[in-house]
Amino acid sequence: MSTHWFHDHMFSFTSQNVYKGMAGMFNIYSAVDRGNEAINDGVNLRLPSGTAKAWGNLEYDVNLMIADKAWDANGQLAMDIFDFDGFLGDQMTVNLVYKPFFEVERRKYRFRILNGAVARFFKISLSDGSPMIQIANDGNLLPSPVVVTQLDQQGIAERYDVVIDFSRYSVGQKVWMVNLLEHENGTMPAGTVSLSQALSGNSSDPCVGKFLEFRIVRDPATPDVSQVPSVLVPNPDLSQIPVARQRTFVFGDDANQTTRDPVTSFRGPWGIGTDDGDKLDADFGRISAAPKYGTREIWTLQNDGGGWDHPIHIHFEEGRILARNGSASNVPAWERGRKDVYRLRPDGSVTVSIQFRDFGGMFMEHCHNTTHEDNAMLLRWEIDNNGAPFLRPLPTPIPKPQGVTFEPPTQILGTAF
Amino acid sequence: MYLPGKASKARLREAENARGNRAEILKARSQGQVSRRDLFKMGLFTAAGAIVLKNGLSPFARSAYADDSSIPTGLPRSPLFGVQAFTQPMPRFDVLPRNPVSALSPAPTAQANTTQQPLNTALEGVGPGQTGPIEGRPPGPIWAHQEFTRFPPAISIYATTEGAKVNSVYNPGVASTFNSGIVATTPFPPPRTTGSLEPTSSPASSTTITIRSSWPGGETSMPPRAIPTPAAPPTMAASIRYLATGTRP
Repeated sequence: MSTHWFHDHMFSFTSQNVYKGMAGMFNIYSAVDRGNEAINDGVNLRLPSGTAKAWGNLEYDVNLMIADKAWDANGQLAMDIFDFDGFLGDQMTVNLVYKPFFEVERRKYRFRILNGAVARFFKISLSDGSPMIQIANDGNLLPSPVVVTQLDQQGIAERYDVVIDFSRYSVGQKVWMVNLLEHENGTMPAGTVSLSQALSGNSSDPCVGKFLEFRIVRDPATPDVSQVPSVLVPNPDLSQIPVARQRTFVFGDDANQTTRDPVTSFRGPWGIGTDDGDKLDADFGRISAAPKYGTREIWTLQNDGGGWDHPIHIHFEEGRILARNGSASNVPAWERGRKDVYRLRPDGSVTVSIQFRDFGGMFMEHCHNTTHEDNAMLLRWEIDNNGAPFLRPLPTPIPKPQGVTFEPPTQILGTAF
Repeated sequence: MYLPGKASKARLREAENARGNRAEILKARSQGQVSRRDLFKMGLFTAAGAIVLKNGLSPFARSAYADDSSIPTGLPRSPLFGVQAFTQPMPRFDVLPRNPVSALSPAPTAQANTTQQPLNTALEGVGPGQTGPIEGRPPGPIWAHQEFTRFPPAISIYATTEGAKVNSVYNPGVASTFNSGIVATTPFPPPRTTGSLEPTSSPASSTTITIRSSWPGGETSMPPRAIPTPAAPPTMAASIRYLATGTRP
């Protein structure tokens, strides 16, 4: 059904904890995407996976966590939390191993690619420029698969599921995954290089180039019965669902802090402006939005400048991208499923339809460049559960080893409710 | 951001020292020995984001050795200890075991379990003899599981955050032939007490680099973990509900 990941989220400490490895992935299986490529029941999509178990076969379904790292002269993992643009490593790792190889058979594989970096975006191709089939984006299968020779930029926390068919190679051949995206700092990518430039090794960014080697080692023991159907999960029609509210969130720098709570309030160069209000630093005691349970809203996420990019993650609810820069035609085919991380692009905006249907509670919205997140580009929003025992607004939980206490919100924005 | 490979030895040493000094501050901060406010007071930290631009503290400060201050300075490149690219197999994620809910003690409850237990005095703000709840979730009905009756827990998965350690129970979920020859029963070796990303033998002869953090507060053993969550058969009724028709309106 979908590819997810989970990681430590300590307020203002997320980047360093994720960087050190406090992150894992989880795959959710369903009748449609059950991880068995042989079961032909008219519902199962039979995506590459395996056949031995009724569900959740992994032989041909592989999780890849890609991240740049750095280490010091002693081999100690090194990081700099004081670079507020975002920390970049100078070495590529996959599943926490430096530039590894992976043995494959001559057949189709599914790869669940997670950008597990702190601040680096990736743009992936194969070293011979041959096609990949993108089938999912974040936690959702696309309406239809998309054949590409280069994936789109992949921001931090985005997940791209792709199918690669190695049957076109012969045993003994090798092919590599290549990163085409140069960074000069953590604000945003500096630019895309051509495949030949990336392979030349001449980029000033040491993370450009080959980072994962596929070794084609044998023919499959049994025929590849997996499929990539032309229809995966069609999008439902949203047109009959009323829009209760529209909200705008602006992501940028030079944010202010209006609160001084010693626990909930934080300072940093980055912040979020809500509904034409000032850009504010994070305070998890402040309520910036409070949609009503059971409604649909349209949220526009706006990048405040051209000098940076922000992959914005909204907790709990996934949304469908209706428009980029105000136009539906700007939404590429591989972004037409549901998503939970929205890469704004420099000077860009993303308009999202989102529904609040399942669980009430307190949720976050933040930049998933975790350096930006930790330096105050985060806000709190909440949904009631349509009845008792909820309070509106919710009190703010203050966790301590001795137990959780509660305090009233430090601030409720005028447009929140 | 990183120094070019041809940077002078003095420049590299200077940058490495600066990185080490900053790492000390980072460690003190992550262990709660110093707050961000303290760093402001000490003048090591500015609200504007131009931080600790002091030679010896920031690798990005103007160098004593760089001959042109307009050249971006930066961090020394990460050493590879002689390891060549594409010589190590990529481990698949370690699939965490699925256990019955009955394996959990105490049993899970809809509201947070506030049974008191003694606290470790090493925790910030904890005095001798103090107790705290065994569950960290906020107490009371508002923070209770909202569908505990309709969708009761069906499986349990045990995950911890703790210091990196030998992994002798690695389960890639596939046979070794599907994991680039990695033998799952061979324990992933222990990290050194100071090592996070280290050669498995002396640097001169090493052929393997894997990341194992020993930093306080955030540590990982190898390989990274994965949780398989099924929707069929119906152990996760919520997922079945959404996907019975292939989609969700």
